[in-house]
Amino acid sequence: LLGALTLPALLHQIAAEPARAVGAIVLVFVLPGFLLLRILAPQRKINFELSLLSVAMSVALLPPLALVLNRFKALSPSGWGVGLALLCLAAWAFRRRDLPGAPFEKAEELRRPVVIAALGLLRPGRVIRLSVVVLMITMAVGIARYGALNQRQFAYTEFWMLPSEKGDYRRLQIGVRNEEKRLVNYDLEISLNSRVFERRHLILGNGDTWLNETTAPNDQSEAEQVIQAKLYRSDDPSMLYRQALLRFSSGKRDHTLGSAS
Amino acid sequence: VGAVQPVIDRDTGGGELIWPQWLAVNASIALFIMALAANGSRAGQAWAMPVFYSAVAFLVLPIASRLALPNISRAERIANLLIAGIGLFLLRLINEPIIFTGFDEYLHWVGVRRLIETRDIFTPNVLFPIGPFYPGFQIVTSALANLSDLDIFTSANVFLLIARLIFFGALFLLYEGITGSSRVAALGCIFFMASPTFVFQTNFSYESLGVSLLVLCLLLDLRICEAATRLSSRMLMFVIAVVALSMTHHITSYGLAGLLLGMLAVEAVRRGPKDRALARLFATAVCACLMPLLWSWAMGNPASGYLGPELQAGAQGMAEFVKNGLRSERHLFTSDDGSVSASLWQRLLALGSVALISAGLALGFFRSLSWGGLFAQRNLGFGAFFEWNNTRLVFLTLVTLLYPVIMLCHLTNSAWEIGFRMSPYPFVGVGLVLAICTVSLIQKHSKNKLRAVAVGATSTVIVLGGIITGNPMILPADRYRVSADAASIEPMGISAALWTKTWLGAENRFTADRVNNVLLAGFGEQLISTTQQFRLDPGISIVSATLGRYQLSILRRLGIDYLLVDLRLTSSLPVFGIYYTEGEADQMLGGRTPEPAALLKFTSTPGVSRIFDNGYEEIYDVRALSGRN
Repeated sequence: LLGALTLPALLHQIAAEPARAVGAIVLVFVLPGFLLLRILAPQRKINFELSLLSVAMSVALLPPLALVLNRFKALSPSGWGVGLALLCLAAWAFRRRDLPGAPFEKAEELRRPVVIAALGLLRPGRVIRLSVVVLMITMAVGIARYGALNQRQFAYTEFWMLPSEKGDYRRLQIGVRNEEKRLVNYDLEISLNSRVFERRHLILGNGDTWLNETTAPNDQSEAEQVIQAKLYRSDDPSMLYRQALLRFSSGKRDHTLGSAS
Repeated sequence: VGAVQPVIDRDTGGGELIWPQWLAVNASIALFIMALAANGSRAGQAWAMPVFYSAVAFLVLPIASRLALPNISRAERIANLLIAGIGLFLLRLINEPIIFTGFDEYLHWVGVRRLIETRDIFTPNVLFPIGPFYPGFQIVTSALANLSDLDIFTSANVFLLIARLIFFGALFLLYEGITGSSRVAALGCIFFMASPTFVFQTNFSYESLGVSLLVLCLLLDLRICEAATRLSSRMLMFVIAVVALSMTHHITSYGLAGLLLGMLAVEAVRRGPKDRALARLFATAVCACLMPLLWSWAMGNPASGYLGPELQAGAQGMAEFVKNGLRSERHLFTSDDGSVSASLWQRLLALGSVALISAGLALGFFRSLSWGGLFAQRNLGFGAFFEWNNTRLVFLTLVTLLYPVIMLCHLTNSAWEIGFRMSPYPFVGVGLVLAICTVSLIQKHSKNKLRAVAVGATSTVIVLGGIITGNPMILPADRYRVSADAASIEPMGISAALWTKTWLGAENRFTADRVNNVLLAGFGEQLISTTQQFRLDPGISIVSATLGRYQLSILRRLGIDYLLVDLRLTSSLPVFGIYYTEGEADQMLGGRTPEPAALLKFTSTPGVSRIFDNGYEEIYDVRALSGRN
C-alpha cells in the first residue's frame, strides 16, 4: 500500500528510465490486483494462482478506472498515478471495514519463500544458466534489430519544393535527401513558367540532406503560374530524375500555400 | 472406447527445477537461431524458412516431451509451460524488433497515440472507427506509457508479454481445475498453441488482451462454482473481469457469453432446469451476457455495423460453398495475387497438423466424455447419456465439434476470416481433448522417455502446422510487396510519412492507398480520409484515368488537403486482395493493376502542386481542388 501511494509521486522524480519503467510496471500491473486479492482472499498464501490473479486483476481494473478518470478529464500521467493510488487506498480501507478480524499472513510466512528463492538464485549453476539465457536472448534481439535497421531495398532520392513562408508563393524552400547508398552528383534546375531562373550543382553523400531557400522572379504573364524544379543525376543528365512543381494563380494569393512549416 | 478413469499425477514437489533451467537455455538458443533465420529471410535466403521452423521445433519438442511424463512436479510443469509461452512470444521481438509491422497494429498504435494526446478514451479513429468504442486494450497500453514515459512500441511489448503470461497461467489453472491433472493442463496449453490465431494473438491488437481476459473469466467462473466461502468476493472479481472484457473486444465478450450459456445449458440438462445448484452458473452466464450488451448499448451498438456485413458474407459464402458440392473456391497456401505460396513441406506440415488434431479428437472425444463421468455406468441405457459429473469437461469436449466447421470456413473466400477469428473458442476444447487423449491413451503412467519424445514430436508437428495455418508469411519479407501489410512496410515509405509531419505539420487531411494510409497516420500523424469515414472512396480520385466532376466532388466533400500516390501499386496485383479499402477504387480496378498514367495525372492537373517526389511516391497538394484553401 505504501508503494502504491508513493510510487506515482516517485515516478516523476526518477530520472533513470529503466527504474521508472519498473516502478510503472509494478504500479500498473501488480499492486492494484494484489491489494484487491488481499482484500478478497486475505488468508491465502502467495502462490502461483494469487500471483497470476494479482496481475490479471490489475489489468482488468484499468479499463473501469479509465472510465472514471475520463469522466474527470484526468487521463494524464498524474491522473493515472493518483487514480491508481486512490484505488489501492480504497481497497485497503474496504478491507479494514469489511474484515476487521482477518489478519494478513505473518510477515515471516510471506518473507521466507522470497528469501529462500532469492538465495537459491545465487547458486553458481543457476547464475550461469540464467546468464546464458539473458545473453542469448539479448543477442537474438540485437541481431534482429541490426537486420531490421539495415534492411533497405530501395535506393532513392527525396526531392521536395514548398513555399517557405505563408502567403509568399515566390519564396521557395527546396530540399534534396540522398538515400542512394552512394555519393551522387545532382543538377538542379528551377524555372518559372518554363523560364529557368536558377541552376545548381549538388554533391551529396549517402544520408546527406541539402536545403535551400530561393526566391522566384515576379512574372504575371500567365494566369496560372507554374514554378517547376527539376533534378537530374549528373551521370545521366538526359533523364529527368525527380521533379516538383507549384501551381498558383497570378491574380490572387497563392492557393497552394497554407500550413507549411 | 470403454470408461476412462481420470489420470491424476502425484505432485512430486518443487525440487530444484533443474530441467526448466536447461529448457530455458535451450529456448534461448532456439531464439538466437530464429533471429539468424529472420535476418536470412530479410536477405532473401532460401534456408531461412526451414531453419526458422526447425528452431521453433527445437524450442517446443523438449518442453512438450518433458510435459508428457507423469513423474514431474506441478511447479516444473508451470515453469516449462511459461518458458514455451514466453519463448514463442519473443518471436514477436525477432520479427518486429524496431517498429510495428502488422496492419492492425498501426490502427491500434494510432488509437493509443490519439488517446494519450487528447486524454479522451473515445477519441474517434477514422482508420479504425470501432476502436474507440472498445478501448480497454488501448487504455492499458496508454496507462503504462503515461506512467513510465516509455514509447508506445515498448509499452505495447511489455503489456503483450504480460497478457500472454495471463493467458497461459489462466488456461493452465482452468484445465487443471477442470481435470484435476497438472499434466493434462500443461499439455492442453501446448496443444492450444496449434490454434491458427495463436501467433496473431501476440499482435498489438485488442484480440490479444480479449483472449487473455476470456480465459481469466472462465477460470473465475470455475472458482465461483467450486467456492465454499467468499462467493461474493469471487463474483466481484468476475464482474470486474467481464466489464474489462466488454470494454476490450466485442467478439470475445460475446464468445464468453456463448461459452457460459452453453455450459449452463449442459448443466441444466444434467441437473434439471430448477436445480438450485445452477444458480452460480446462471449468475455468471447472465453477467457475461448482460455486460457486453449493456456496453454495446451505451456505445450506440457500433459492433452490429462492423460485424454484421462480415457475418452475413461469411454465412452466404458457407452456404454457396456447401451448395457447390464442396469445391474449394479459395486457393489454400497461396496469396490472393498468387505471388506468394507456401512450399511443399509447409503444406505437408499444415495438413499433417490438421490430420493429427482430427485423429486426436476422434480418439480423445469419447475418452474426454468418459473422463467427465459420462458412460461411467456399465448399463448404457438412454439415461446414461444425461449422467456425468464434470459439466465443464463435457461441454468443452462438445465444443470441439466446431473444429471441423472452422476448418471448412478456411476453404472459402468469404468465411475464412470468420473461421480464423473464431478458432480460439473451439481450441479451448481441442487443447483439453488432445491432452486427455495423450495422457489416457498414449503416455498413460509410463515413464518411457522414448514414448514421451514421440508425444513431444507429435505436439511439435501440431504446433508448427498451426503456426503455418495461421500465418505462412511469419518471417520478415525480403522485399517490398504490393498491399501485403507487413511486407509493404519498409524504410522508404516510412521516410515519406515522416517527411509529411516534418514539412507539412501534423493533422492535414491525407488520402493514399491502404498501407500508406496507416504509415501516414502512424508516423506522419496525419488525418486520413477513407471509405470508413463517410462511405466515400477517395481512392477513386487516384485510380481514375481522368479527374472528372465525380472525383472532384469526393475530394471536396472529404476536404482532402494532400494525396500520396504510390507508383509501386502499378507493379503487381495486391497480395492481400485490395489496394485501397474495398470501396469503389478496388471495384473499378476489378483485379487489374492501376494504370501509371492515371496515377500521374495530377502532375498535369491545373491547381495541383506536386510537392514531394522520391521516384516511387509522390505527394500532391490538392487544396485548391477541394476548396480547403
